[in-house]
Amino acid sequence: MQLSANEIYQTARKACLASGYPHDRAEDIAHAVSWLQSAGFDGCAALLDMLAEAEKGYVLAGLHPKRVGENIVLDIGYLHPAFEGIAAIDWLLAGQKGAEIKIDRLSHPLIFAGLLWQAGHIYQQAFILASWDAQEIIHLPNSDVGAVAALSCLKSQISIRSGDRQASLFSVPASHSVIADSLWDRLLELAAHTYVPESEASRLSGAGAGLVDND
Amino acid sequence: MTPLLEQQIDKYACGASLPPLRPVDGVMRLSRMGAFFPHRLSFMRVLIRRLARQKAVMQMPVCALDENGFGHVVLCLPLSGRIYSLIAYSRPLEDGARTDRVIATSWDASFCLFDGVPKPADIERLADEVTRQEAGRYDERALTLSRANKSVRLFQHVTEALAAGRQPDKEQLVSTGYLMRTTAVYGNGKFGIADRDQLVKYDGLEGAFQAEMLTVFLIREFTLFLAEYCASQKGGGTAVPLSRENRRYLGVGNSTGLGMAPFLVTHPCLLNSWIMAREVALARVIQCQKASPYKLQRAKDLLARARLHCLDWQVEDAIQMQRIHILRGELERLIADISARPLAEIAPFADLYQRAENASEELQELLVSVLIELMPEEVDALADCMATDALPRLVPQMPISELKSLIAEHYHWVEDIDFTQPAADAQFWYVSAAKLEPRLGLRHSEPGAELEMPFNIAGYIRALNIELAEAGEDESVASFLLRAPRHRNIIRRIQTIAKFPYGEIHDNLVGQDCRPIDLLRCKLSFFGASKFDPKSDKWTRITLYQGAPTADELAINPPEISDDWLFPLHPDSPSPQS
Repeated sequence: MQLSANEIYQTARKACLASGYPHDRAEDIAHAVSWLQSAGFDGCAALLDMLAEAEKGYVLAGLHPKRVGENIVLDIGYLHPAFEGIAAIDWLLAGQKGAEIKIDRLSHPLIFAGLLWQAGHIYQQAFILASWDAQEIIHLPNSDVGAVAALSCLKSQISIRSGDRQASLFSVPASHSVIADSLWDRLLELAAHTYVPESEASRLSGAGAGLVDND
Repeated sequence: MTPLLEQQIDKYACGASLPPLRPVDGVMRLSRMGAFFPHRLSFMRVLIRRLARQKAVMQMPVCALDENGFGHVVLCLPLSGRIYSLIAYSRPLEDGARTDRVIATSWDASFCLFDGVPKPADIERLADEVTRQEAGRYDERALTLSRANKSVRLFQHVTEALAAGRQPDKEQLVSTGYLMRTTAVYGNGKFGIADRDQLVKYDGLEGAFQAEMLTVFLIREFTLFLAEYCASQKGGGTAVPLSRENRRYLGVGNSTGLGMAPFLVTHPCLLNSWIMAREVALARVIQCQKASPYKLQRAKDLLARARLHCLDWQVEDAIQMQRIHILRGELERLIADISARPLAEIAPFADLYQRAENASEELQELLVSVLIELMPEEVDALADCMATDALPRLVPQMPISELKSLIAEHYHWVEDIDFTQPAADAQFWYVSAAKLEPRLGLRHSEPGAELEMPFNIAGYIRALNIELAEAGEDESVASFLLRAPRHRNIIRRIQTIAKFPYGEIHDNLVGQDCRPIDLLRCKLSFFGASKFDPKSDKWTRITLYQGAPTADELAINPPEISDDWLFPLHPDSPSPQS
């Protein structure tokens, strides 16, 4: 099924809300998913995977930065993009000197990559991701979206630092994308949990109510 | 001070230095927003100016209607070198199926604004989709969707009169003012149509809601054509077309409910850009030190026209009718006062505005529309600043001390709310399972509050203040959010409002006294809607494009004539000269 970027954003946002995410996190994740779809990634499938986990009642674990030599390090044992992920990006964007995030296990890396790309664009700020053995170094956002695919292969032992500020970044315009019907139906099903059955009083106060319309 | 906040827009907007503006706290109150009138920065006015400047000529390459006016029509209009087409499908509709409710599934007419000129295959393919509206699927070439029902009584009267060779009765024209009313205009990617991000790059559609405004303009053309077509089928050689004056007077009706209200809350940056442009326009006019005799006379003429317009403005809603009565009296007195005591030679428009400082908000906001009208050279370019792609964003490095200062500066109105009373959060906004439309529920007696939209701004500020009291003054917002993530949404909003101050409504949107109709009137005034006709505190009827030039005038009239349609009057009105 072909869908507009805004349809994907709105439905993803509602699906996140239905899964218990707060409004700000639902919005950020939905922007990331819509962007991933426009960039040619299967953001909706990744979102559904992540939301299945959220249904288990996930909450943000307390995070405490620690000074390590000249650096200040935020150690995250398990990073869920919507919770520790967004908090970690905010913390990095605060621009503290020597700030570094160390992630032992990264869940749903594609969604996290989408969040980093989006944040990078909004704040004109690049991020440098490196595996702890320094074998793999990824810059996000980058001159093409290949870096997103590279990050989505990493699942553990990653560190992230802020890179240089970037005046202009490669951007992907919002566009329609194709999503498997079964995935879309599942997202719509989730989104429907944010709707409230209309009360009789509410129905009677809607636009057009109470008038003869053949006037 | 963070770099972001150094760019505070209390100094600059749209690249220009700002004159002193009316305080946010006075402007962004629901009661004042609910008194706004259309003005020359309204989006319909902006579109008509653009069309008139370009001397756009509308064409009808396809007209496939039967003798009853059923079938389809294509109207094409070039705009900035690109052609946009309204595909209009006219269908028979049983009286029992005709409803303005959003739950309707069939309509007298349904429309699609199409990018380019549709081929016969496009028209055929879209026929099955557009006539089902929300139940259809579309692609990027469909830019907007809409539907409309006939005002049966007036449509019938007009076609019968024209068929018999005479113009319709003035009283009937005035009492309705339109041949059809729309019940929705969908844009921004709904049901697979083009995304707004795409649309704003299209020639001629830059700016706020221009695709939607173009759609309604072409719908109006369709309704006028359809009435004349039906009359000619009925009357043959006896039939006459509508007079130019009557064509101009007929607009497009619309029923608007709560669906429109949340937009203003969920788009604070955009709301700021609309209000800011209007306030800057007002401030520039008020600052004018010397006015030409022409402009002084124009001010008097517009007030005289406004007076006649308000005399035509009749509604059933008791609260609004009472306001109109007061407004009529105030206008009479103001006009008499200006006759007796001419406006000051220095800063005459500041004088005019000040003469209403003790009047109702209706008169004060009507004056805003009049004043803005007087200096197009200072005002019109501000229309380019009324669209923004800015989104709320967190400033994670901000110290808590600065966040507290922002709350004190921009949210002091929250302190007036007594949170111990159930009235403080008596209502909640939600999305209804029926047609996914926003609704308002009663928190203490109806289910569903756990799914409410995040509009309890005052409540969130109060909760945040409690936790901020324990936070270190030098701590960063990002650090605070590591242990208090639930406040991220409201902190992001506060920081955004610091940069976009006219983006926040300074009233309790979930309080018992909140009247959504005020939000509707504010938004509709920016569209350019007139004859605001509340049917409850939750929905209203309005008229769009009443008094605007029709397509056949755009290429003929001088642009300033095409642009002169604030406070439309019925064709037989006495001359509005003061």
